Amino acid sequence: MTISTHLDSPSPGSGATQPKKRKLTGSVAGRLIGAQGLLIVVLAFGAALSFLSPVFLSPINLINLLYQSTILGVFAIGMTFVILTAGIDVSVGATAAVTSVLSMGVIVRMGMPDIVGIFAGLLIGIIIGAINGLMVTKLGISPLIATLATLSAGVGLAFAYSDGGNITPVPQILTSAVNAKLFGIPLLIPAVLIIAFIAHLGLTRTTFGRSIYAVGGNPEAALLAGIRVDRIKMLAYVICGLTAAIAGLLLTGRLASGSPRAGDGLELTVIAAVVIGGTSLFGGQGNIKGTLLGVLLISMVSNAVNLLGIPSSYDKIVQGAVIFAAAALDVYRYKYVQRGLSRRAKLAPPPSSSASTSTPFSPAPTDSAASSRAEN
Amino acid sequence: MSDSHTSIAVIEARGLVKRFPGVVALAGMDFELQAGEVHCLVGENGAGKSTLIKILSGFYVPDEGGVYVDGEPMQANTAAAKAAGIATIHQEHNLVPNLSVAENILLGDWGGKSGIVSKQAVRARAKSALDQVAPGIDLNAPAMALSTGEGQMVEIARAIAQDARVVIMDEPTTALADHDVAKLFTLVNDLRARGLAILYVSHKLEEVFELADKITVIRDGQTVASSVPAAQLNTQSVVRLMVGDNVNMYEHVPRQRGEVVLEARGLSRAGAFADVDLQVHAGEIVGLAGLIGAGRTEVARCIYGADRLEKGVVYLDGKKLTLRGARSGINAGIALVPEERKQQGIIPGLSVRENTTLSLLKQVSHWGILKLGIERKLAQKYIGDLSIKTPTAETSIRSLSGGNQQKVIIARCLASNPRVLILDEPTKGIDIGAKAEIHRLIEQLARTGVAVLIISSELPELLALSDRVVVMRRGRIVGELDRAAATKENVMSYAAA
Repeated sequence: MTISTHLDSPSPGSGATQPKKRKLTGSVAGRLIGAQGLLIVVLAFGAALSFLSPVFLSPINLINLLYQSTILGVFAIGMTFVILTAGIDVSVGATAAVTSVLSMGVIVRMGMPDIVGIFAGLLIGIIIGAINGLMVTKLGISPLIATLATLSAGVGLAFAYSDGGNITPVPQILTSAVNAKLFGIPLLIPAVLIIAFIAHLGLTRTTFGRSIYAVGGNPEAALLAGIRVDRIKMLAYVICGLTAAIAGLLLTGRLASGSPRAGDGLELTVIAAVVIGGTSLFGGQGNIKGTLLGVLLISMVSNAVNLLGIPSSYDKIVQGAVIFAAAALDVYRYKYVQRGLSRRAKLAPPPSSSASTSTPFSPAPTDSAASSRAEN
Repeated sequence: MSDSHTSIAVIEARGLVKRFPGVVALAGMDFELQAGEVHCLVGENGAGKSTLIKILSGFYVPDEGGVYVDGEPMQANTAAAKAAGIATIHQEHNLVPNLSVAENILLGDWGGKSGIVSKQAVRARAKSALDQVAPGIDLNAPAMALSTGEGQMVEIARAIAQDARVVIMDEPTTALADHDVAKLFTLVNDLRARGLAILYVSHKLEEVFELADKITVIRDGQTVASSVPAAQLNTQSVVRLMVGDNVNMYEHVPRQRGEVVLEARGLSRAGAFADVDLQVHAGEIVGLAGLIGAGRTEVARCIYGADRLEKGVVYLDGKKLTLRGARSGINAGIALVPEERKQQGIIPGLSVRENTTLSLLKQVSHWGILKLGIERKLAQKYIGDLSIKTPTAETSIRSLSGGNQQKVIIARCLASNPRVLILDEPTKGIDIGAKAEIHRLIEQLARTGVAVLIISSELPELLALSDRVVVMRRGRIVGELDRAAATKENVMSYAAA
C-alpha cells in the first residue's frame, strides 16, 4: 500500500525535457527500488502509523520495535550471505531449534559448564551450515531442496532429543544476554547492530565479500576468473548456520527454555525480510543495510497489527501482502536493472561531438553511447 | 513507394522514430522490403538494428512514423505482425528446450481443439515445414538436443509453417560453424526464389555481399543508405557508411619470436580432444582454427585449468604445470578471455573496477581485506591503457557497450601479468571499431613478449592476426600452417576435410 502511493508521487529530480510519463515512473521507480527507496517506504509507513496510533512514536514502543527486530535481524544477516550467492536456506528455524535444545541439553542434562553448552550450540549451527553447503556444492542439490531436508531432519532431531518438551533451567548468561538493559535500552540492540556492521564490512571490504557478489552475479564467470566458487558458497551457508545458531541461543534466553519450537516457521519471515531489503533472489545484488530495513519493515507490520488492535491472525495476511510486494518488486527490479538502468547510466558521458578525432584507440564515437542496448 | 519501383513493397518503413529514456534509438528510419529479395541491414551495435526488428515484429510501438504492409499501415502489436506474415529468427535461438522439434515448429499454434493437442496432426504439419528446410532433423528430438545450426533450421521451419511472407534474420550466423553457414545460405537463396522477402541483419560484410540484393545501412538510428542495390556498394564503402569515417584496417607487422613459453604434449580429454601437441613462443600469436565442435574451446579450457585434463602435460617456460581449476592456471601465468562474454566473462552486478580486479583479489588485499585505493588505481590504469570507454571506474559493467565490456575482461586477464594469453572468440558480437582496437591490443601484447593463443570462428580475423595457424578437426590437430601458407582455402581444406 505504501508502495503504490509512492509510485504516484512525483520526484523532484525527474527532468522535464523527456516524454513525461516514462521518465517520471523511471526515476521514481529508480529511487524506490534502491536502498534509499526502502528507507522512504519505512519512514512513510512509520509516519502513517504515527497518525493512526498515538502510541507508535512513544520511546517505549520504538525501543520495543527495535528489540522485537533483533533476533529476526540476526537470522537475516546470515541469510543475506546465502541469498547473495543465489541460494536459499529454509533450515534456519530448524537450526535454531536444534541449537536451543542441544546447548541446553549439554548444560542441563550433561551438567557441563554454560560456556561449553553455548559453544556446542554454535558448533552445531556451523555443522548444519556445512552440511547444507556440501549438499549444494558437492552434490549439486538445489538449495531449496537441500535445506528443506535439513529443515525436516533438524526439527525431528530437536523434538526427538527433547522428547517434545522444554529443557530448563536456562543459565543466567543467556537470559541476561537477551534482557540486559543500559539506560533502558536493551543491550541486544547495539549488539545486533555490531554484528550487522561486521557483516557489512565482510561483504564490502573483503575478498570473500567480493567473491560472494561475483558467485551470485555470474557463477560461471566467477569460476573462470579463478574464484573458488564452491568454497565461497560453503562459507555462505556456514555463516548462515552460525547466525541461525546465535539466534537460537537468543531465542532460548527469551523463551527461558531450550525449546524444539524455537524458531518454528521463522525461515519464511527471515527470507521475506532479506528480499524486502533488496537482496535479489537471483543473486549478486543486495546488502546488509537493506536487510536491516527489511527486518524493520516486517517488525513494523507486526507492531502495527498489534497497536491497531487487529486480530493477530491478520498479521500473517498483511505479512503475506508485504512479501508479495517485495517479490514482485524483486522481479521488476531485475528487469529494470537489465534494461532501464543500463540506458540511464549511458547518459553520463557527454557525447563526443566530432567524428574526425577518432583514432584507432578511441573508436567511432557512436560506439559506447548506445551499443550495449542492441545486445540486450 | 510508387515512383520508381515496379512492385509494391511487402514492408515499408517510413520515418520511424523510437526514443527510450535518454537515448534516441531510431531517429528517422526509412526502407522498403520487396518480395523475392534479400535485403541486408547493416550497422554497428547500437545503431538501431534491434529496435527496428522489434518494431517490425510488433514488440515496440514507434513514436513517429509507421510500418506499412502492402501499402496499408500495420498495427503495432505482435498479433498484427504475425497476421502480416512477418517471422523473426533471433540471434540466440528461441526454442523451448523440453518440447520436441515438431512442437517447437508449431509453437503456440498446435491447432488442437479445446486445448487438446493431437500429436499426429502436429507431426504432419511440422513435417511438411521441416522437409522444406532440413529433412535430416528428427521431429521427435527434444529441442535441447539440437546444435545451434539445427535449432536455426527449426526456427526457419517454424516461419514456413506460419506461412511467413517476410523472414527477419537477426545475425543468424553468429553462432554457426562454417558448414552450417553454407547450409543457411542455400536456404536463404531458396526462400528468396520462392518469393519470400528476407531482411537479413548482419555484422559480417562478407556474407552481406554474398547474399544481398539490396543493402540498407543505419548509423545512430538514421538510414545513411536506404535500399541501395548491393552492386553499387563494396565492403569499403559500406564500412565507411557504418562508421562514418575511414577505419584503419589491421595490418600485420612482423614481430620478434622468442623462446617457447607454452608447450602442451599429448593432451587428451575423452569426448573432446585427443593427442593435442601445441607450442606457443614468446611474442607469437598462434591461431587455433577449426569448425565449431572441433575441440578448440575445450583445449583452451584445459590448458587454463578450468577443465580437467585426462592425459598429457602442459609446460610453461619448461616447467610442468599441475592444473586444477582456473586458479591454478592464473597462478601459473595463463589467462583466458572466455568464449561467451555475457555468460562467462562479466559479473553484471559489479562495477568496472570490481570486474577488472576479480582475478587478482589476492594482490589487491591484505589478509583478505581489500585495499580499495590500490584497486582503484589498477582499474584506472587499465581504463587508460585499453581506452575503455566508461564514465568512471565505478560504473556498472552492464552499462558498457559489448566492445568495452570485452576490454574489461581483457584487462582482468592482463592484470594478472600472464605469460600466456588465450583468447576465445575475442571479438564475437563486437562492432567494427572496437574490433579493430582489440586486434591492435592483441598485437601489442604479443610485441611485449606474451605468448598468445587465439581462437576465432571468423577466419579472416584469425588469418590477419596469427603468425601461425594450427587447425583442429574432430578433437585432433590436423594441420599447421605458417603465416604465408595460411590462406582461407588451405585452412578450410584441413578443417573441413
